[in-house]
Amino acid sequence: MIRNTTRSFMAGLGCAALAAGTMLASSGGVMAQEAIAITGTVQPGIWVDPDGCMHWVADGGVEGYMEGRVNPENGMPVCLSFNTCAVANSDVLFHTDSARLTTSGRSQLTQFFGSAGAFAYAIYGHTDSRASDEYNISLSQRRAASVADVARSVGARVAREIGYGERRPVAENSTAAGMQANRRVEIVCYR
Amino acid sequence: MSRITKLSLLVGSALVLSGCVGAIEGVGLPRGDGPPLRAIGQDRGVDSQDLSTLEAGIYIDPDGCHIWMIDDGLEGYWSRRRDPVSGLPVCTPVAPPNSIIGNISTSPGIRDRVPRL
Repeated sequence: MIRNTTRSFMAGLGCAALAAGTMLASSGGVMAQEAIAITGTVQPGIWVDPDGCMHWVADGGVEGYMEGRVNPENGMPVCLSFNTCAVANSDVLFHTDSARLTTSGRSQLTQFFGSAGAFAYAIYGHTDSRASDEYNISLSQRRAASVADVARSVGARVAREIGYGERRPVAENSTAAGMQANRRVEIVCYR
Repeated sequence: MSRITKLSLLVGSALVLSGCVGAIEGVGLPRGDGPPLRAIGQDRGVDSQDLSTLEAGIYIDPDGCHIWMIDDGLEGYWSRRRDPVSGLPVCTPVAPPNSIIGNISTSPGIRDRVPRL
């Protein structure tokens, strides 16, 4: 799911870049404001860091240039999905509408944090869009904290634990399947 | 030596140097009628490679946050490490500020000297 989203976003970005190029090329009569002189061009490559995030990179001879690629809409880094160490479905981990872990949820997490071997972990809780935003932020924070407690109990270092509530969905909340996909805890491994 | 001789020597050696670097690093990028192409996604020098293959180490900045660091011979690259899910910087204390961990040097073919204060 995440992978598909990234791909379609990238395709979209490519189209946007093309459109921008066309606009600039025909800047003569179209732009109402003073024309901007283009003093040079760059054809950057993409370097993917070990977390899966993309960076623009260009070699100018003896100079080198690099900057992280961002989503123009929200400023987020543009990443392939290979370093989300784990995405756990909340229905498996927790009792309904609660931050209390199920027996199987606790044992899965214990096993995960005991074997993942990262230097530290970032834990992000998410909910679907039912109930109020405020309630969901609180529930997802408590759920992230429950997962973080398991991590610490096996000696793993927790770099951050954040509840995003319903604000960062990965699927539509209009279907049961979509809502279930949104009820999740994401764990990022800092290696 | 007269001032003019010195000057021409200076200019001359600068030209030789730049020619030299051009030969090593392929600075002369193709130019058409449009604005000049300043940089591309490939290293065309003696250590030529596609820039997507660079290997990075991590530099811990003075605030304790991680920056991907790459020494690609003549060029150096820096770009901030950000958490792929939250977008936040990664600042776990793997080492003290200003440390480098991992291998930052993709092509050890060109040795360079770091200026000392």
